[in-house]
Amino acid sequence: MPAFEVGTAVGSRTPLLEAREKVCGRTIYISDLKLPGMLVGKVLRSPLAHGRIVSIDASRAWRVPGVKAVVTGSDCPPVRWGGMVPDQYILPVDGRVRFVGDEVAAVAATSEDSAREALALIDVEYEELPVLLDPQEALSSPVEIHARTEDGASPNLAFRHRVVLGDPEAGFRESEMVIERTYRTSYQNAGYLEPVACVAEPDGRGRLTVWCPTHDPFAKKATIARALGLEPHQVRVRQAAIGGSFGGKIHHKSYFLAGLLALRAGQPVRLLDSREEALGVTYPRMAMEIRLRVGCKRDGTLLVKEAFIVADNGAYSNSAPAILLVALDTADNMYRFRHVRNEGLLVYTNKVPSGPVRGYGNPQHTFALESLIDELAGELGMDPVELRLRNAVESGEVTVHGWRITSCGLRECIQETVQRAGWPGGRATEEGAPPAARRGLGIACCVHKSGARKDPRYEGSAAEVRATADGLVTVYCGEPELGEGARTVWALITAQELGVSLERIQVAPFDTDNVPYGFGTWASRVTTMVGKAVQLAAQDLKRRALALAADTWGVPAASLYWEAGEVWYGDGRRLTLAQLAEVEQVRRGGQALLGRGECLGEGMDLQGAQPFGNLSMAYSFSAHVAEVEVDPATGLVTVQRVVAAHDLGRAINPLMAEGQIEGGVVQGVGYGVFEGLSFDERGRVQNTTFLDYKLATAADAPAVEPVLVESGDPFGPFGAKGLAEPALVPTAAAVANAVAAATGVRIRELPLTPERVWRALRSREGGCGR
Amino acid sequence: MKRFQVLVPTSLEEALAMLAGGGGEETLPLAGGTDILVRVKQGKRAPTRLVSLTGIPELVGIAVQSDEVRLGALTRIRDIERSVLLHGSVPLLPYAASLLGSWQVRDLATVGGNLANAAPSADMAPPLLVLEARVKAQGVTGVRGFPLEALFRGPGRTCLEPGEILTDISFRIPAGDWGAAYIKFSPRRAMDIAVVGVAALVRREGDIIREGRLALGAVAPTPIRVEEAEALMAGQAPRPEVLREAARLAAVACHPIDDVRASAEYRRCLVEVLTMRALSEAWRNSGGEGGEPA
Repeated sequence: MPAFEVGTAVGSRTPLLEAREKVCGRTIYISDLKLPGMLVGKVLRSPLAHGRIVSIDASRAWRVPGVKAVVTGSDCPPVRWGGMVPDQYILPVDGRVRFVGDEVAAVAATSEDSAREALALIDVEYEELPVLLDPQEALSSPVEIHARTEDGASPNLAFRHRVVLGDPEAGFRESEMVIERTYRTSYQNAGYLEPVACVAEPDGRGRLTVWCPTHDPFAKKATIARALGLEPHQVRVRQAAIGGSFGGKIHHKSYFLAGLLALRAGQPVRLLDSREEALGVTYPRMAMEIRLRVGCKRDGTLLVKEAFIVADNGAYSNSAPAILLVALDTADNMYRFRHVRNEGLLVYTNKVPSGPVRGYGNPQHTFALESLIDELAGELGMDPVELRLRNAVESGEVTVHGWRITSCGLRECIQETVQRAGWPGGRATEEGAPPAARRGLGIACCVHKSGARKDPRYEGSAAEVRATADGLVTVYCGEPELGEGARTVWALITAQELGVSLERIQVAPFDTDNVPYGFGTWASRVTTMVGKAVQLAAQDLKRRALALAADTWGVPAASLYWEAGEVWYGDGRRLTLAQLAEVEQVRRGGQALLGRGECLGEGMDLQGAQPFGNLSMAYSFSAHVAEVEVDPATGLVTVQRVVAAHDLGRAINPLMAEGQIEGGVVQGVGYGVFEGLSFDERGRVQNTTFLDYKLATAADAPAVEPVLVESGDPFGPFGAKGLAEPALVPTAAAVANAVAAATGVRIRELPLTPERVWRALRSREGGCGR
Repeated sequence: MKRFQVLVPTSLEEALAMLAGGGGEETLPLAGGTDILVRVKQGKRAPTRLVSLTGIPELVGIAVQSDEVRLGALTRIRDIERSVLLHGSVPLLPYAASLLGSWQVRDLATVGGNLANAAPSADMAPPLLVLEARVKAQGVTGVRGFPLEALFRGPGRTCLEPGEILTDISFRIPAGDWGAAYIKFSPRRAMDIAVVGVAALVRREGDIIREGRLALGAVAPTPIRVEEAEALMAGQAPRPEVLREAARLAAVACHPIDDVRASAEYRRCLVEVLTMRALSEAWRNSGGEGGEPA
């Protein structure tokens, strides 16, 4: 345990609580769970991107020795469900498959070999249907991937939203410069280390326990129950350590299939994805085509912005509508636009269903907007930094989307990165660089929320902090830790409030039976929203302890003070938290000393029009400056260095904050330069291994220089705001801007692979390479 | 993954007998396992018996005797990368070895395995081709030796008979002033496969290229030598137009494909660019002056 003085926990450089056990390989992940009688589950997947199941016969699979369950569409409750749009079944009840990898059947057996053999013996006859891979084509195609929606909208349109703020037409009339550009983004896999593992265990009383690594276990508990035809109280969700997620584990068919198999077999069943499944059939960041039009004054004052987005939903919706909404309402808030018109279409295609990945829809739109701001600066003959500073929002302002900015370090982020990176020149070409290598710097900024209203009625978090006579303090909250360090943050906040040392604090393991209700770990909300609830719960505990001490000693509570986990009275009398917990235990038949806290999202528009308005309690800002080297003959882009300044309000733990930024930047470099699923003409993902899905390795990581800007939010715990998503959001745009600065060629499509850059350079310069 | 048996012979004779005596069961040799085990896991191969060759002492080792270098086929890539002997005599090989896979992969993978796997992109192939390596193969019926080029028949295909294994790779260190270079082009700096690999070797006589050798990886069904370019360079000064023409001939000689990693068109262009760079670097490594890429 790190040593710090009591009461200096917040702001200390504290390693992750689980760091030692993780590094030593002792952490228990869901994929490590072995329950008595646990069966191996396997999934049969569609080889077609679009088809109708003419017949399916699983009788031969049942005869394989060791097989305990085989399930197909006919074993599945005919309940349509989904993340937001009810567009799927656990297995194809409707006899349709809609992407390569769509779940067709599943088996559970006593061994891996039996399960595999049984899968091979399920006979399925398909009728091929026309495959739609291009969203534009899908919008006008007579082929319907899903039944036409009730409102009569065009086929294959999963969701549509438009937001108009101010008077965009007047804004364009008033503009002295208008530019329009179109940008395209790629399908980024979440790239987590541990493929999804899920264990479902039925008990003798009709309850099902599902161990799954989702971010929103309470929401999943309800959906799993609905999809399996159970009552909500019949499902319990538990978790072990989660080996990374980045949003990619929020949704997964295994959470439902494991339950279906376990109920059928009457035994626990584990489903464990292969890496090929993790890359080929699970929920990438959705690709978008974003057409932007921006108008401004000659001096660079931004007036109006218009966006038209066509987003590739993939075959099923999950969180896709919310992801599109985030794309429509987030990036604009960095700048003082007066008028905005954003419209987005979410289109079904016969591709792997998209899903949430770090940043939701913000990285896509930020790539487009921050590229365009640089292009606009070029048109105006202005320095891109100057253009951003001229339009950057500040604390106390209300943005065009109605966000009330209570703390803002955007300007400082821009100034810090620019100064540290040596803007605009950067460094001279390094020794060993390829001939004629060109260097350039690029900047991009970001705004992101720290929590968001998902339930139209409220956004909030609840926590309990319990002190027991054994000297332990236990924190209970309803959000999972994904490996990012949330539990360490909550423990530090508790340590700071109570003045108790960190080794006496634990965070209770996640179990829907035992923790308060929680919305989930998303929208960069757990430090801010949950952290605030934990802080308030610790304060409540302290208040109760003081009252108890006052009562014990028969003195007024106001005459007592709290220091270092103890209650003191003027005459030198004192009681530790553990002693007070024992007093409570003795007086109240064994009760623990309990503090409760809830964060209700201060200042948020809870009555305002959904989904826009002031939808978060606090907003985070950042600026990244990337320095790249481009080999003009081969198109190879090497990101040498990224200076990343983040306004995170207050660093609860600077060590982890810097780590979060470094990881985000590397993932952002991946989004910018390396990563992207490629599909063949039949809709199959072609890069389903880490050989061909190019996740950046440590050798490809740039030198990352994190800069922590502490603007001190009035509502966040100790002034803290979210950091998890912003760490990735601006990087790709900063890289694209740096490549443009280095080569003079603007690339408007991600990722900036060597071949794409080579083509762009060649079309300008002609000839092969040079 | 289908179950299989791993046999661990301790002598070459025992290994060859095991490989020959499968009795109808599919039996494959197992070297480092970094290619074959991945295939088995993916279900692309389903051998029932694997004969591990790593415990056979005579198949392992690096020997340099006067101008003759011999690599046991089971020599690990990591040992080639770290060999002091090779660093002193043929630095091209340790360098090429350092670009293969990751540290962990190099700790298992072997030079013979890399060649016998016959991937068009094999990192050890172009450097050994420009060194004009010969290989020895042995089966129960006997030993034969042939030039490395003759080993490769197509992607994943070699001239080895069933039951026959590579035993060693040898080459002569070029006489006089010479230099070599290998350029592996891949998006990532590590853990990646070559989109294009170019090896060049130059024997220098004063300001003249006495002999130039060029080999390409990942741009044809097998790694290839480019004889047209080699013929052009012989006896020439490394003037920009010579290097440019050699590079052009290399681009003409290759037959790349379109795949998820790159288009044929792009690969062909890379061959041209990287050939110029590799020749230029090889020239400088030979102690020559000038020779800047055009």
